[in-house]
Amino acid sequence: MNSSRHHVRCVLVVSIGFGTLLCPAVHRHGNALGKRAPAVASEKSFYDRVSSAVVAITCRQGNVYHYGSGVLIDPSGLILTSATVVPRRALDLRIYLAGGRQSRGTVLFTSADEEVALVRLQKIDRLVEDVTAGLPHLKMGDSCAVRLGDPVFTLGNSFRSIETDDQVCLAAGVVSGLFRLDDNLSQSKYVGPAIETSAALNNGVDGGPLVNERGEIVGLLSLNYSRVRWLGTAVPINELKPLISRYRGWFDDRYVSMRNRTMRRKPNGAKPNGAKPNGAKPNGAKPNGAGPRCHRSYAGLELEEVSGREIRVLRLDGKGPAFTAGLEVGDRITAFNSETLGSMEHFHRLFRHTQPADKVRLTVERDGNSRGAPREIELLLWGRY
Amino acid sequence: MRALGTLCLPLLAFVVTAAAPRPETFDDVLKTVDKYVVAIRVKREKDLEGPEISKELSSEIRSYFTRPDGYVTGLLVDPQGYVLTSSYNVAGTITSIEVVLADGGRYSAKLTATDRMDDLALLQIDRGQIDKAQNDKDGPLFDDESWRGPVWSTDPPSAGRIVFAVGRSPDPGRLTVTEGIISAAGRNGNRAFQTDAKLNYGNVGGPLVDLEGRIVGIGVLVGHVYHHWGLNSGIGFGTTTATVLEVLPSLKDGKDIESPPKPLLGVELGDQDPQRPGAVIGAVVPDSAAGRAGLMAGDVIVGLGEKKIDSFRHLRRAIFDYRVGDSVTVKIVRGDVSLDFEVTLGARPKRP
Repeated sequence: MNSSRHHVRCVLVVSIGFGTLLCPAVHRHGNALGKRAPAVASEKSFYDRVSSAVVAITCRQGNVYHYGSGVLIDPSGLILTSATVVPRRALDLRIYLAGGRQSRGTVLFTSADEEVALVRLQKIDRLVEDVTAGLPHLKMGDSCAVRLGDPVFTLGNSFRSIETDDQVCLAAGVVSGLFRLDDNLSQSKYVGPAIETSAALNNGVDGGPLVNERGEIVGLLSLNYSRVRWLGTAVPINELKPLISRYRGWFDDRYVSMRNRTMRRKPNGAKPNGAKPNGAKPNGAKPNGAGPRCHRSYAGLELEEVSGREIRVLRLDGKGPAFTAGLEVGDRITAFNSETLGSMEHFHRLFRHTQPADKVRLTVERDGNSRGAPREIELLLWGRY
Repeated sequence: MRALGTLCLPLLAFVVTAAAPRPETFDDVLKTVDKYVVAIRVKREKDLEGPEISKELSSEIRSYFTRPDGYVTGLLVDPQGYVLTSSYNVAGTITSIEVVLADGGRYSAKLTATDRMDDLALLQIDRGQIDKAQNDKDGPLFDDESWRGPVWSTDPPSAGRIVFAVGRSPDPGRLTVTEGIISAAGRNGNRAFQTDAKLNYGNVGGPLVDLEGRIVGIGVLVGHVYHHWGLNSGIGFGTTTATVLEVLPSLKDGKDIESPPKPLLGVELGDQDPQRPGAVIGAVVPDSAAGRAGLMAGDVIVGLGEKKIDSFRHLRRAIFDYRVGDSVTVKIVRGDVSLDFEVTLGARPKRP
């Protein structure tokens, strides 16, 4: 991605790899990088193991060319990358794998709000000798277990290093901050909790993985940052897991059925022979047109946090589900599906786990004539892209 | 080769195990300072004037050179509620200062004194508010008896030592940490050291700690007025613990510290002869120390006090060993004659 911020970082801010620091980390965390061997050998094996799953991705959106990184998350060629690398309507998707191999890719979905995109490699059997073993891939770790000061690594296609020289760039650092990003900066649309790292994050690394010492993905490298800090950030992987598993399930189903040539068109409504409605729906997909392509649910309301605990309705979509259900601007939302809300983040966390066509119940307090009596409002969520 | 390998491996293992016990992860380092690293919110009418930045640059790049809204970091050093931070953090026309402690308690504070020489400032939390401060296992925070305080490292900083810059921004509820080493020990006249631990708007003013969590310095000299090396550039500075402890008493007394005037000899650089050691004088500033003593253009300075002078750069550095008003013997060579002059050093005029 051509990002002006990363340009600044590279010109004004010399990103320094710190072998000096890596060494103590390696000594003290010998288990992470291989217990038996001394530091140098284990470092190499760690790099080899992790970097083989990291790929470069290039694509075209109109006449704008994008480049970035991605990481294989399963042996069948599913790649996790950033929506800043593979935006909507991306064409000419090209994947560069370790060993100088190239392949075309198909975008499964891309979500700018979560800054995540999933891409599947085409024609995997041509890329691997042993199809059953599949491609090297990285496991997803637990980003909630990440602590401040933990050694982490960024890997990716810095300045097209994979495309031109088949070299995955590795940078070491620590988790330097865990906070919430509230602003959209440098083409990123992601807002929410972030893992900040002191490891170098340069042009083209967005979409690459932030890995812990065990080589597990704990974050998706993002272009967003905090203006207070000017350091690289990653979207915590746990934020993306529901989304990834929902899509992976759906596409795995379709993929498998296509392979077996048993894919049949399945009706969404009740079958004429009286079978259970939706009994055959694919994993995670919802009826009423809310298929996996619109994975995000939509309530049509904008909220603000007042004095740290009150959640108040700031704006309403005049046609959206919240408005039609009877919410008004200024209403205070106190509970979500009977769970009392502590903060805006709490609301977001609960809302993220809803799906289009879900029904949610909001407990609302309203000033004015009917003061004091909390009311329950039920809304049917829409889906949106 | 194999024999060598088997010999080396136990040796390596010994070296690794024999090293001093270190914290298991870097977050242990933070536990020792956690309580004392505070967030500070400064409200101001007017900030310092930054450098002129080309209008052609994108707003994102331009924003790099200006201070963002948000919290900055400081260090609680005293049970009287004194908070040390960078003077850049409290520069400008201030309307209010709020200190946020580790437990989330918010207190208003006022500026006690600044030390522009070391880019330090001392704040004090309002006395009336201190009583409601946190209690923990050590007892009340602002109590002389239960006060543990941050641990200061008394070793002089040495290049290569691992340091961590600890901050409490952008989220005052959580620490941040960036890691690096001391890149150079004697900077700013031995009052500071240089580090590659990433320093930025958020963590400047916070402590730089070593692997044992002891404080080796306070992160300073980052911000739009010092923009020329940039945030996170790998060039950051820390005012040493020794300097901090030296200036702290006078800061507590409310005395601002300004840089002392620098000594001036009053000679200008001439055409240097690389074959001949010494500093060739190009011109003498009239009515300066050198002018009054009778030095002339073309003289070659070969000694200052006890020091031998090999070049003009050498001379420039040697002068800073003296203070304004000091008398010093200047050894020169005029033609073939060696002469000694006694000069009383003047003060460098202040920059406009």
